[in-house]
Amino acid sequence: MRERARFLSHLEMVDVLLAALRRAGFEVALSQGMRPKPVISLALARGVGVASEDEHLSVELVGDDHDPADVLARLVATCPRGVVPLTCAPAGPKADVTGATYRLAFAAPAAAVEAACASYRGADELVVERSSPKGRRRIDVRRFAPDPVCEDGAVHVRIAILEDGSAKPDEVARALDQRADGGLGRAAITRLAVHTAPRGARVGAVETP
Amino acid sequence: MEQHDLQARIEDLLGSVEKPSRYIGGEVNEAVKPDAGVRVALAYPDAYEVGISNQALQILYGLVNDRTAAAAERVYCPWPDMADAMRREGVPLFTLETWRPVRDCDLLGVTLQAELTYSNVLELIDLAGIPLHAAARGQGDPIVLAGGPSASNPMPLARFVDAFFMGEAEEGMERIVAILEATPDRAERLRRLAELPFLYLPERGEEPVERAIFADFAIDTAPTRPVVPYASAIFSRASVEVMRGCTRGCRFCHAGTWYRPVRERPVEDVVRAGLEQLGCTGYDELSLTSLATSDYSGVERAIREIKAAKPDLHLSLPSNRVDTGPVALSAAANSRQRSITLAPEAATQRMRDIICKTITDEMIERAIDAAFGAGYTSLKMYFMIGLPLETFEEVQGIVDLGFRAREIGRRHHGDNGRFTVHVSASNFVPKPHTPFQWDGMAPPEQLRVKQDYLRRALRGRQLKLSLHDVRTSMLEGAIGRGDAITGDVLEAAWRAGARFDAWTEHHREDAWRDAFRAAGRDLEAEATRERDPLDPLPWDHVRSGVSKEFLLDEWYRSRAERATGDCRWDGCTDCGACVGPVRNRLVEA
Ligand code: SF4
Repeated sequence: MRERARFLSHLEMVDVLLAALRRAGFEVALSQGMRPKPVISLALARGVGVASEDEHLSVELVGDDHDPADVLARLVATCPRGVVPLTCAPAGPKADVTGATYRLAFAAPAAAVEAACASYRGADELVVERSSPKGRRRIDVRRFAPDPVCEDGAVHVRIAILEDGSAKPDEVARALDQRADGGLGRAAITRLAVHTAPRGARVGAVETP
Repeated sequence: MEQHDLQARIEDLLGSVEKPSRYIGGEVNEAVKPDAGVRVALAYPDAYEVGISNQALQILYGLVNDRTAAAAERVYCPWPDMADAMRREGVPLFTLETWRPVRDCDLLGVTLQAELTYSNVLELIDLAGIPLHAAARGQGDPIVLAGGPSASNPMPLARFVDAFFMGEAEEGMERIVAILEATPDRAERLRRLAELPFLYLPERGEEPVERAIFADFAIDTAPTRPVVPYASAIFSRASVEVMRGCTRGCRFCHAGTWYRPVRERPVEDVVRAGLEQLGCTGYDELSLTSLATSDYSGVERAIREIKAAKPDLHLSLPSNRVDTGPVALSAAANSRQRSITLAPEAATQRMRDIICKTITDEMIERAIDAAFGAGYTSLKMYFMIGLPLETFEEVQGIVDLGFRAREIGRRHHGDNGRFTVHVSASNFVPKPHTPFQWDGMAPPEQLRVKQDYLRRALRGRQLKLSLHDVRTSMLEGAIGRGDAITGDVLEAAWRAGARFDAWTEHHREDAWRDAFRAAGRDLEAEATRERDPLDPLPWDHVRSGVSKEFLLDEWYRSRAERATGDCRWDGCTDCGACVGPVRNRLVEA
């Protein structure tokens, strides 16, 4: 999900991929029940505006003699600008998403970003406010993302998905911004990797360094 | 502002607005020609999800990009949150394909599909940083061209638009692009454009201008590579226009005049275009569009051949005649569809004779019976209220027909059956170039009384009613038949904050009322005003091909409650639309 395609919402993205699969000549299987739906899912929802180098799409295609290399080649040809399929493999056993690593690029000078990272790591608690249609909530982002590090001027941070929830990358960026003296400004966010583990692997807390 | 700087600033804005996908472009089948010498911005003056669903603009987009060296790029009206942010940050209106400023294009072409988008036309011009008044523009400013059905009365927008395209743009657009390519000089371009018979340039005075008719519609191949919208579009389906024009002669209908005569596309062409489109878009639904698809003489063969190639396809036939045949056709086209629409428009025989809707009570009942018999569980019926010569009987007729439909539905699905009769009643708004162009709208209080009555009377299980906002209908009526002074009103209303007038949440009745008052007019008086057939009309210089005598004759026949036959089957009534090679062209006898 590169360039402007990062502004597609999760649902728009699913729709775009369904149409790309149909253009590529594949039929997506439908679920059972009163209101059959295409069997397709993206492993981890992505905030609008967040770019991504790693998305896990799973989809059930009608027919059983699909060659992964062929599926990939055809899908590459039919995806719109900025949506770039990278690999394709037969589905393995079910897995849980346990977290994702993000790159947060701030416009502020590298030294300021470095200092904010250090201050963040040293804090006991980093609370940001999350507002949603359901109301406002206070989130301690450090519980989910204890260890941001600075690499080539940008922050790399792994955010865990725990049994009771997770933090959003822009919330971590806001917490970093709060730790910097003059502020860091808004971050350009890229998801670098989605982490999975065998089903049932999610835990209640991450170890803090 | 440098191009990469503009891109970065647009990206910044997108982080904080609703539905940023409205502005990003990059959809499948988008055409990008970054090195084209001539660039044309094609704009729809409403939100992305409405504009991208418009077939006419998709046709023009494909035509300019495929058949000329010029680049056509798209623009939709930024939603108020984005427009405000753009003004605040000094970001000019940009095209979706290359994110370049519209102001740097050679032409800004705006399609006028509805009067309630006029304030958005001003919004687009202003956001682009183009002087609002055509008279204030000069070398370096794009030429602002407006086309589409509502251009048939250009006067309300005459001050803001350099040239109006009258009629069907397929052939004319290539000639316009050729002029843009021939010279970069703005004045010279305008001089040459003024020579085209289908262009009206307000600065040249009210010279007669003729509607362009695409005579080759039936011969030329249908376009097959539409841009595939992101999920939010109001229509996400492939569509092939099977026929242009309709000669049924409904007297309220603008399209019934503006697209005469009837030209049908060969069935082979329809089938090929439909299948190709499905392949290159990934849609799972195909719509065979026209003003009345069940009138297309090749419809049965087209359905058969498409279904033979794609048995599971959702095939839809919008705009059907009210009769058993079309209901059976719809059922055959899409066996999974559970809902069907019928448009009797009026519920009594008298009113249908007045509006020239040549269907009988019996045909309507048979169609309802056939629909429920075919397994449909949702029946939508469209009516109008506030029509000329309407009495309370007609409104009662809508109630009676609603209940009658429910009774028929219960016969098929049982008294407690799960089905709905959905009655929709819109407000009649007189349109230029129609036999009812001289009639006024019903006064708002009368429309409200009738709506209240419908609300009270059409209640019960399995019944649903939807009504149109009287305020927006009155506005549509007040500006649609307007003149140059309406342009003053429009500008004042837009300056006071009017935009997205068709969206209830943005409709600014106060701004419009004040603007009419400032121009010495009253909104309701304008909408309800009857015109004297002897007085000139603001759009008299626009020649639709259908003569004013014919329209007036039809108006008289309406007062005599007499319908007129369809010239495809009942003989020519000499409306004037057929000239030379332009005539009704049916594919099957
Ligand atoms: S000129 Fe005659 S045949 Fe042609 S559209 Fe008019 S009424 Fe029909």
